[in-house]
Amino acid sequence: MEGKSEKSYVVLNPPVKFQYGLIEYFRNIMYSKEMMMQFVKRDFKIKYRGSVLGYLWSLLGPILHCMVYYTLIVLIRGGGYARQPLWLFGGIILFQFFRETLEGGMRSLISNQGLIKRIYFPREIFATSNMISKLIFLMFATVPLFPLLYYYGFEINYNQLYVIPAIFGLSILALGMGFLLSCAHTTYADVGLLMKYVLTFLFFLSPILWTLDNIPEEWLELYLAINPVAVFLTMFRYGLDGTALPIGAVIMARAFVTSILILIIGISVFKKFEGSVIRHI
Amino acid sequence: MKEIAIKVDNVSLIFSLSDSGPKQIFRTFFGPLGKKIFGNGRSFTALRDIDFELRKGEVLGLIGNNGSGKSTLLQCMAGIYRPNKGTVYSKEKPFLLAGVGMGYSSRLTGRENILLLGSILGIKKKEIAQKIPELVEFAELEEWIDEPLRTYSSGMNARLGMAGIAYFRPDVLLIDEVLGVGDPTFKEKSKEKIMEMVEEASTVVMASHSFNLLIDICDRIIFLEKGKIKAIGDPQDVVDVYYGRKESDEVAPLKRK
Repeated sequence: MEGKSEKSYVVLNPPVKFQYGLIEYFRNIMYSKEMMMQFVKRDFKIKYRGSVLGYLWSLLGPILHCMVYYTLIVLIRGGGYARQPLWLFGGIILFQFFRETLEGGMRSLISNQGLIKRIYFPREIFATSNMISKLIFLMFATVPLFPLLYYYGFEINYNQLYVIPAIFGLSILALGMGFLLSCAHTTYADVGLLMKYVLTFLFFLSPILWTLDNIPEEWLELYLAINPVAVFLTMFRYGLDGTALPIGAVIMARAFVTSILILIIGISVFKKFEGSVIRHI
Repeated sequence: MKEIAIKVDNVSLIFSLSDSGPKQIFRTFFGPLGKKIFGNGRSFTALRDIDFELRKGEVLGLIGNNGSGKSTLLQCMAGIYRPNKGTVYSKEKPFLLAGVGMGYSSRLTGRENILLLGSILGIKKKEIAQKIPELVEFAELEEWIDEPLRTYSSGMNARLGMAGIAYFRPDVLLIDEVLGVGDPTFKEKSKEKIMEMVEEASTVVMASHSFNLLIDICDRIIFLEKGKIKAIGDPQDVVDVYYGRKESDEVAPLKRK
């Protein structure tokens, strides 16, 4: 052999033990950064292809979405909470991001079967690149927030910093849930059908059309403990215009720990079952 | 002896047929206990103890009736299916060309599909860009390359897929019954391209029903029957076994010169 070290044999698509799933995941992601960028690009090219307004829809969509719910609130309650359009819009785009990341991750094996059935590469790339492109779309969707902020007025203070961890936490949670459910969904379509309603339910059960003030004091702690999405939504919305947060550091820390745990379990479950689940596609 | 490119070590693959019943849920979640209570469920053994070695630069043919496991074996070798038993060891990254064309994303254009394919095969962006004009010319798709794939006819799709592998040259090429597509002139062209790759010592595994082609280009042929290797060795001998003109123990292990 002339200098070149001999390639060693590898097992393509090797079985991964539950406890090694996380390590394997990060190694694969680091190794396939280039490929992931290609997938993110693909998502962009496809998303609004065939529409006249194109990328304008990433602004228009959330605005229309928001108008639907605003009308609903005005019709039912004859008005709403203070700073309504601003917080409603913030809540809606963030929840939409959560929903799309989760559902995209959950369906990632099925919607990419054309590729999956042709060449082997780590399949966790699909869900992860999906999250990245949804994050970028979220950035687009925040653009209409600025005129709203200008209109309602805002203070610049350290509360604004909460926006970043809110998005970060929600990404972790959505990605983890997506991984956790994707193998189950690939085997049993029931999971996806059920999740559609669970997520709609979660939308109404999270502080989007209402605020945390609507929850009786004695239930608030329990509610925030079981619904980390509500914590992140609140951090995001209050952070937007710099209002002081009604929740303490312990509650936020708990939401983060929950999300990270879900991500770890989700990735481990995914890596454990992903190989055998492909036979069901 | 040349080094081994892919080693298929005692591979078995079982598809479970009764997928979505509630019993299957118990089998999944309660493991051996669930299987004890609810039985193993209906299943189909697609591959049974397949064991062979593929040497670098070798051209291997796969024959067998429909449903004998040819495609499944190729998919196992490509790492797409994880075997229930046994392991596939490999030195290179095999690429499977199956069905009609690439068809990764029907909403992306031909060019975008090729870029995606190249990046998956680990080819650098510059290199891909260099190769695209040649590739397009080979596929005879000059006017169509910037149209979305959904507008392609199945023949055009197949040509694009063939052109992709011809120019990106995956280390190990697994071909599943794709030489039958396209018009006669293109068929001739892709056969030439594959011969060219064969001569340049690419490793190729090819499942096909065109025995004459296989006898021409293969070093060895595997005859699969019901997921088992019935015969492996000299192309002509194996085809004779297929037609019942020879017994499987009369097959020469390597190609007769």
